[in-house]
Amino acid sequence: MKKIIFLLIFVVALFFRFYKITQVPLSLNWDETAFGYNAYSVIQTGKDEYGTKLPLEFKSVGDYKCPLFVYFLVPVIKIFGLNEFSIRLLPSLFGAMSVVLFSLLVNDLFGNISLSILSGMLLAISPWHLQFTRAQGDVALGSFFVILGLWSFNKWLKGGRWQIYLSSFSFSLALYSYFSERLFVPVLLLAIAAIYQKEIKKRLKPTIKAFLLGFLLCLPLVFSMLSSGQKGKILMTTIFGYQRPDEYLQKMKREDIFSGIFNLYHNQLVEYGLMVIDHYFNQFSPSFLFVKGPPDDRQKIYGMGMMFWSDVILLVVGMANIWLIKSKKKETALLFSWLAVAPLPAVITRDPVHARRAFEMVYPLMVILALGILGINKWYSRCKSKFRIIPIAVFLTIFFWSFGYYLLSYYLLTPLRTYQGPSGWQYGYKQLVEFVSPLKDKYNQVVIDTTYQGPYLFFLFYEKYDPAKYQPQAFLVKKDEWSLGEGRGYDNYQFRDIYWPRDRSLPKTLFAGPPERISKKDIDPKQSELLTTIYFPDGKEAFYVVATK
Amino acid sequence: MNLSIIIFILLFLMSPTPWTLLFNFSRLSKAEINFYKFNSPVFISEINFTRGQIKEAGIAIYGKIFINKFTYFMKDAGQRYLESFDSHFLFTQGDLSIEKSTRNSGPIYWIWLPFLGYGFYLCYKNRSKILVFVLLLPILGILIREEYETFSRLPFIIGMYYIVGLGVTEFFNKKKYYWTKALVLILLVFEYSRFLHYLLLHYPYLVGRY
Repeated sequence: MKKIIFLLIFVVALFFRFYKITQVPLSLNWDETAFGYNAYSVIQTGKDEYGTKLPLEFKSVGDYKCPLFVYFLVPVIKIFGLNEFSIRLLPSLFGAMSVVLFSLLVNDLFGNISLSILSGMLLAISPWHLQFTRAQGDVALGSFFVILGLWSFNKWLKGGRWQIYLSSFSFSLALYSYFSERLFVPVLLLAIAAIYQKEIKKRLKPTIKAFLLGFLLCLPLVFSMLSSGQKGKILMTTIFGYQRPDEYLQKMKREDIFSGIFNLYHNQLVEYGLMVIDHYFNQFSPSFLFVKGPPDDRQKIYGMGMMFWSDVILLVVGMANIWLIKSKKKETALLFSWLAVAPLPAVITRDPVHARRAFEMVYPLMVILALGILGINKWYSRCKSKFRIIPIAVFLTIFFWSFGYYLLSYYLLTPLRTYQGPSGWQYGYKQLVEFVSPLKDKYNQVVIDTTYQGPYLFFLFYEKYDPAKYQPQAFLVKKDEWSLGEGRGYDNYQFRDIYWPRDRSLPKTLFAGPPERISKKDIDPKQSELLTTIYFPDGKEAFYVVATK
Repeated sequence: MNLSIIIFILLFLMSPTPWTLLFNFSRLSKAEINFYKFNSPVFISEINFTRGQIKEAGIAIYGKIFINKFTYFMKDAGQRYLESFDSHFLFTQGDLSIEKSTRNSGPIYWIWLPFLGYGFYLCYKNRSKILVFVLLLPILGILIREEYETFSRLPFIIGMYYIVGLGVTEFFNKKKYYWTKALVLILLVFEYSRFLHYLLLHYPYLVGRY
């Protein structure tokens, strides 16, 4: 019976992760295309797009991506080809497997089958989990290996022998999968070591062996972390590279009467410390969890937070019913350590809230929600009032409304609001490649504007351009040290900002750019011709494709 | 008088809210109260726009069920209720209006956060009705149009300080943790002086008093 229930959870998880997988989110974003094209490049040449042989960091647009997802994509692309389905297959599959594995982990930890089934079911339909396991693959992969590491560690604690090595191997793979895991996993492991110190001391030898195995597996990573690219990435995204604006500091100095006051209240420790505390608690704020979600288009679900509205009730009731798992002190400590540690990667970065970097929060939260359901069930069976059905009916109404609204928002309303630009889903590039690619040989040059960022990746991806030909041409242009780069171009393609007053005089050139770059009224029919307009899903103009004579 | 009540009053008087409101008393006393409007044009146009998009997708009935005045009002009300509990409002920034907040601290100092948690735990453990009462107080915030508005949340803030007071009293009544107690006092002095420094030196520039 248990097996059938877990299978059912897996089927539900699979369904929600695979339904319209290539259509929603609307299009691949530049991270996904970069993962895909680099995997394609590895298949064809054994090198990344820059010609580095089997790298441990993929430079891509200058953001140095983690390697594991790229290597996992290699067989998938070999079988299914370089397309949207191949890129989204793995996150969905690993996401669904995480759901079942998490359910098993909860069962092993708390020995409560109802809790484990409910946690699994809630995770299977969790908007937060779905958001990052239907697309944006690296996070789903990293998270799966964390769950596998915890599950196998727990199996070992309960008398297993080899599972500690599987645990060590899994945690190491998590570090190769996604950047956030590089902070989350070590801190979580410290917490685990503190919680289970007695058990670990009793079996010190295998623990040391497993630790050494993990250390050896992670050693290459340490070297790649010291590369200038990685350092640049860390400085660019975290608060460690953040400098307060000079205008702000001058203003504060001017207004503070003595320099002593300025040094006391505006020193880096105080201001950055308060920023870190603020970021940490933002991850738990109702606005983020239930109301608005993160500001970033690629992470958000329109009109709601990362959880259902009904989860507010479950979370409060769940917290009040923690006593249901009171007898499992260590496991409860693990659950809360997990929840406390999970926001750390989001905290040290500059964004005030980040659903992707704090993704690991979703798992312990699901256990608390499941406790909420158990608490409600307990109250219902104890309550003698004939009106006891009313609060249940209210809760169920809120749940079904929230769930229905989520589906409506995710499949219809969110895509209509998050299609544009690099923080969104970069819609329009596929249509642009399909139009431009057959025409490119008729022109001296094809200039693609970079306002929406990363066009070169989409052209390489959708043209399935031979990586062996691209590698010698690969060159990343950076506007400044804090920006991501753009591929300069290949063959007769140029990827750069279009300045129409100057560029329109270039003969026999094909231009593609947004209306902000190529004004329709400045397209002089004597000089140039508007070949087509590519539209966003809501009918707004995305690109003009213009040819000069 | 009960020690926790005295501590609660002291804590509230030391908090940023009364000082900031007092600082701008003359302006705020003339300010108009904008009540929440169920039929505001923004509200209606958003519903109509979203419904239009759903209709175009050929599932108009779905739109009627999920996007209507009632559900939008309930969602908005829920949002306004929950924003009272936002750490950004409570601890970091407070009201969005510069006349009701220095924007450098919320109504509650960060140092009180652990005591707030401890106070909630004590209320829950003792099945205190005050907990339910405090949790109901943010409903007042739903009535005002502005988001994160302080006046309508004053009773809630006072309630939160009562709970902080419970936590502080219980903690300082314990006979151990001398170093922690000393640290709490040092941090409190720091936070309080930091707030006063903002209020007296930077805030006047922000509200145009210089």
